[in-house]
Amino acid sequence: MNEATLRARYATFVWSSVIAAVFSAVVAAALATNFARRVPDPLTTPSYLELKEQLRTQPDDEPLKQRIRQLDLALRDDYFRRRQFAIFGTWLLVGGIVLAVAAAKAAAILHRRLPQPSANDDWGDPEARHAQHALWSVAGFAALLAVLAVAAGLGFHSVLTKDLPSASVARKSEPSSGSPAAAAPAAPGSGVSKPSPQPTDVVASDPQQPDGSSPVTQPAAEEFQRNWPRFRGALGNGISVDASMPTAWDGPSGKGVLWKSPVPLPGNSSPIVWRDAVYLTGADENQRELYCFDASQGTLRWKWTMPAGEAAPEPLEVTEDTGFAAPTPATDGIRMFVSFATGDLAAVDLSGKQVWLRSLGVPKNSYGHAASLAVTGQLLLVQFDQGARNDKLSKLLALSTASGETVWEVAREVPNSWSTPLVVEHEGQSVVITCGDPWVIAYNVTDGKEVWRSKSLRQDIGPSPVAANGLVFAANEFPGVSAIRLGGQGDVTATHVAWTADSGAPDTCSPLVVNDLLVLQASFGTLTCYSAAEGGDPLWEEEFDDNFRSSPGLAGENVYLFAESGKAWVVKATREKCEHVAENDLGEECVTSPAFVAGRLYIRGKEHLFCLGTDVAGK
Amino acid sequence: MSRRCGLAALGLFLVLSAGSVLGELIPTPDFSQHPIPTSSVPSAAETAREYVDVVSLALALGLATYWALVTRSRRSLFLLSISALVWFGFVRKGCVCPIGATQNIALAIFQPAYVVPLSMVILFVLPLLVTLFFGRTFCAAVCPLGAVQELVAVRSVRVPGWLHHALSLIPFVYLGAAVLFAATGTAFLICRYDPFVAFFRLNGNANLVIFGVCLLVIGVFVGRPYCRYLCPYGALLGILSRYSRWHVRIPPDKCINCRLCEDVCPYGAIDRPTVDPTPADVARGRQRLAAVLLTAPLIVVAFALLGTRLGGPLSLLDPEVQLAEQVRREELGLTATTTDASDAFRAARRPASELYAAAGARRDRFGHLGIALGVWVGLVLAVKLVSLSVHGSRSEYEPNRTGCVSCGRCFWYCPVEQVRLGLIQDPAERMEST
Repeated sequence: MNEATLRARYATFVWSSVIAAVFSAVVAAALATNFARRVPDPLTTPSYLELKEQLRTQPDDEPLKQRIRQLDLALRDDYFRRRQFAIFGTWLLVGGIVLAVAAAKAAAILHRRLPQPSANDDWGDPEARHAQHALWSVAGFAALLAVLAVAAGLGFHSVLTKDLPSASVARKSEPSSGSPAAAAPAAPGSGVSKPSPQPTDVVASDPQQPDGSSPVTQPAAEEFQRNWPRFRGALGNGISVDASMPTAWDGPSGKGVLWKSPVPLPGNSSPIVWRDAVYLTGADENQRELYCFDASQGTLRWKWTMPAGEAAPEPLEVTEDTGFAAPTPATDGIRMFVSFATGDLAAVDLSGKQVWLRSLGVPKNSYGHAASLAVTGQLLLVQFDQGARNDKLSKLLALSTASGETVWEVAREVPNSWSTPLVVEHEGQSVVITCGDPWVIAYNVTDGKEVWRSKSLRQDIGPSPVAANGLVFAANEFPGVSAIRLGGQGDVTATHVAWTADSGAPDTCSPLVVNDLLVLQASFGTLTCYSAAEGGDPLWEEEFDDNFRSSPGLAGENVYLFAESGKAWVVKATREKCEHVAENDLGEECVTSPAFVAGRLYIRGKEHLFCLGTDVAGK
Repeated sequence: MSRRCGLAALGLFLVLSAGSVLGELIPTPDFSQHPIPTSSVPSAAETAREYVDVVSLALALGLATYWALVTRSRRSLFLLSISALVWFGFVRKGCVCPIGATQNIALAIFQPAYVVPLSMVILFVLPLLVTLFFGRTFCAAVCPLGAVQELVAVRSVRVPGWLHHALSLIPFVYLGAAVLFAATGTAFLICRYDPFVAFFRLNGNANLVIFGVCLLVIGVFVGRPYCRYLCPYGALLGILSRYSRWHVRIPPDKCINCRLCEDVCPYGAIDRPTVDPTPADVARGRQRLAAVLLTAPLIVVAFALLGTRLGGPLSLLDPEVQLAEQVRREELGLTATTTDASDAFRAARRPASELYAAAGARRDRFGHLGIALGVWVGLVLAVKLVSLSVHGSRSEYEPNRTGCVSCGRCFWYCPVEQVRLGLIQDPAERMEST
């Protein structure tokens, strides 16, 4: 083969290789673009999920259904088209690469030249030259491995600690009977807090939505705030995110009352609202129930009844003020959680199907158990204070929302109380704040370890704490109200109490923060206002000729006060005065706290659940 | 003329490329024509297929050995490697292979309940045996992973010796980890992170495809990067090849030390003749060796201690431990979402406490195995340091028995080989032409 032919062939192979390489690069880029734009699961695209969500609230919307079908088809079409392109492109890429490599090798072979070792290349002793460098590089490699091992060990963090509940303890706690039963009350004066029984009965553990689908993800925080998922709203402070709420209604005439529905069984629990339904509990000596009302129409969609169990060894006594269904339910968006004076707990899905059931035992409570439930993440928080302080029966439990199993529980050195725990995020740490004589105690949500405590309370504790701007406000008739700074450790009584006051402190109603003001509603009718940051003397006091057990709520600038008689005042609280906006009448007694969602106010009277608001026509 | 043809071809390929991109913009017709696949359970592989694999492997090994050691035919080896790539790679889709079989053997040793097929044992042992006698002819032209890298090695550059020695330890670490995870039944790491199997199957994890592409691109300039610096089976082959009875030689007869081959190996696997050290060098060398020998046990102990820290991190790859972690996180509210595995666990009504106990036991086992891994790594490091401290003795150019993959690329450059092939009469002719 002559030189010219060799050069020509070499050039051909080189050009072929370059062209094939460019082609392969273009195809690879197209494949990469296709890959970047792909959606792993087309049925989880936000627009599709949003339409499905709308369909849940508007199940009869035919145009919406059509849109969903069209979008579904388009998403699937796109998905399979991309897959097809990926397969086609891969073949092209393989062909291009094979051609590029083959041509390059052919060119390399044609261009193969004999090596030209330098005539004066004095390499010395290669063994000696390389060995020294190699020794150090191997040593460096060893050091790198060691550093990686140490980093892996130090960076390793597991939530599986040594003190997890063992299988043997869990089995001992389960009663021999297969039916759910109220466990025997803990022996008073035993001085030992027995481990709480694990769930005795689990029906389906797959909670369902009303449309039958099974969500596995919790709703986002924004959705919680838009709804009213626990006592006094998502943040437990009684403040509505929706400022436009009705200010005028009249129960007897029906003006401003969109609907009112009878509640089958009595109860003093407040309503909670999730999406398009309102939930309430009711109970008497024999039955305990959860009700789901349609938020638009007020119709009773379903009710869940706690299964009948074994009779308690001694009859449960509760005061009429408390009743058997005082704790307000809570929800995580997937399940409803309820508790009753009997110490029974249950989780029910949004279609009314029981998820799990648990009995903590009948609590030793002078008025009847009334602390409402709270949910944070996948934990259900139960403040189960009972007996006298020396009985050492009180505890705070964190249960798994999915199964009801105890994740952690911590004993509390307090007697029975009726306050609801509050979860607060502060500087990256999530704590649950509890009130019980004489302590305000904050526990770490993750493991129940105590973070700080302040000796700020006395006697029977009814009001629940609220938090705002780095302060926790805990109030009780005695000794009054305390503003405690968050972020402390240990006993912060001397270091973190920003201010205290004793005038106008409530014994039942929880405080309300209105911008930079703290408002307290006393049972005997006095509404007292303080500067939230500084405390000091009350800025003003306003007398209402009625008794109050309902905690005040805030929507926009309006504070809502519901009295026991059913009368309700809407006021504006400013630094200067309490400005009356409206005076209304529900038409029946009321001791529960309002829920504010989507321009409507839901309140429970003695016999009915009310929905207050204006319809489209402005009535 | 050739330039015009090249430009025309370039234009044609660019049009085709544009078509492949534009194709995306043109909607496919009618989704309703898409056939809904019906799911079915694939039938079990026939037993005969296992023995076809064994026979084809044995045949390929025999041919590779014959062509490497007897006929010394680089062209035949190259063609065999392409055939192996097609057969073992694209037709058999890279599985089963002797590299992955390492894990099956490890699992069978540590888990009595696992029964490894005889064919798998043969697949694992046969290349090792052949290597023990004839050198790494498996790597030369039988292994599809080596074959694909062999194809792309176009402009290889020499990796500095000190770097090569450090990187060559990685296969041993990988081997230890792969055996550990296979022995516990946790994962087959070698298969899971095979960078080229996605090419063979034209389908695979995107990250691994990218990794494979990167390796091939590197392979254009650094010969056989996976074989030299990652392949755990290659670590075993390298050890055995060092003691092979016979091995590929660069010249067919006596080496004339012409130096023409010293830089031709794309894998840096040709060792030069040594120079007799001076007495001072000998003394220094002895001191160095003594220091290394004294340090070796300390290195093993140190890495054993480091291994005690590895139980937790290593156990995170175990599915049961992962599930326990997820379930516990859900219970503690540290995660807002669940996984399919945790949902299935809850639906199965298993007590969480049992899961935690099982995960704890697995983690404890990993703790012990972490120490074993640490001891293994320490031993590897110690042996390497000792080997670097021992001065070799060579009077001619030789293939490095550990690193040489018997590919035969060096044959053409040897004038003695050229004489054998009848291309020249005298080696001096070739030397004069350089």
